[in-house]
Amino acid sequence: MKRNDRSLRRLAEAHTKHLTEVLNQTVAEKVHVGCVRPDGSDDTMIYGTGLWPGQSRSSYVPLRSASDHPVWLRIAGRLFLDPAGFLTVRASSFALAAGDPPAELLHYDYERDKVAYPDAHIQVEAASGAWAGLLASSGRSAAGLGKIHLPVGGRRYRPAIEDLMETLILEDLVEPHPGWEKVIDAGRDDFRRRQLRAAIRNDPDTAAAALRLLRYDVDEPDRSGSAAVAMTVRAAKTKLFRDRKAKRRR
Amino acid sequence: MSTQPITWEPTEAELQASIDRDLAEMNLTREELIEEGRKSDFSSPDARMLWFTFGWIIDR
Repeated sequence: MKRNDRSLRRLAEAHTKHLTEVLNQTVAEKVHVGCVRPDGSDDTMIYGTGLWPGQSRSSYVPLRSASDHPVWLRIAGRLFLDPAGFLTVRASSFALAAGDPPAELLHYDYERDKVAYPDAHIQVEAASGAWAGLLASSGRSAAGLGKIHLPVGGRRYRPAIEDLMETLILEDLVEPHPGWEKVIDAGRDDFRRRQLRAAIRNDPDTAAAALRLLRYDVDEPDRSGSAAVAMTVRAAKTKLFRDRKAKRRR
Repeated sequence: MSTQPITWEPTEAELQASIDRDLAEMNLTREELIEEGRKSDFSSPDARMLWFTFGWIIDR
């Protein structure tokens, strides 16, 4: 096992354990979130609800419905380590369903560097006369609202799973465990801080300018040698990807 | 209940067999799933979830 793989596995399992704890301490009971490490891959791990050895597909798990109508959640995603060794989500999806068998209500998807629609989006299975009229006149299926990718904050500011859990609780759709607020707040704060750190790493000049406005003293890092090469390569790759994306859109 | 994660480490053959079983249950070929994934227009929630987790293996 390579050093990188040990680290990815450790971080991915910690992430999975966190998800399991958040669910079981807020809106679910005894649900399981499992991991898959595909053979031959030392840079990718999969996680998902109800993912047990021998299965490659995650499954719906029940939430504590506030009524006699079943409510379900399904989570799955793909993780890797970025070049600096930070655990990063390549793709993730969490879906909410109701009824028996589960019928999907909505899902949040995130696919890094996707072309033709927002990386982070929500799709809602619903009907609306206004939407039906617009879709039909645009040559789309009138019942196609569920096919529309509505943006949700982009890569850095997309919702956390805790946001969906909180909404279900506040809208009286699920029955929470006592003390759910602390679990939701802690998990969401952690997610948002990690996203903020990633945003700063991606755009340190803007972060430094904002800190200087707050009267912090911020020194420029040494941009000579290998650090400069790494930054230049990273900037070039980002520009290359953006150019390709813009070209494909045209 | 323990929250310790359980990690499945399948061989390539085990994983491909599991993916093939999933696709057969969805009545989809690998090519059809790849096309659905590229358009983000999936025939079922199961197909979407399979794409989000193992699409990169199916499409490589």
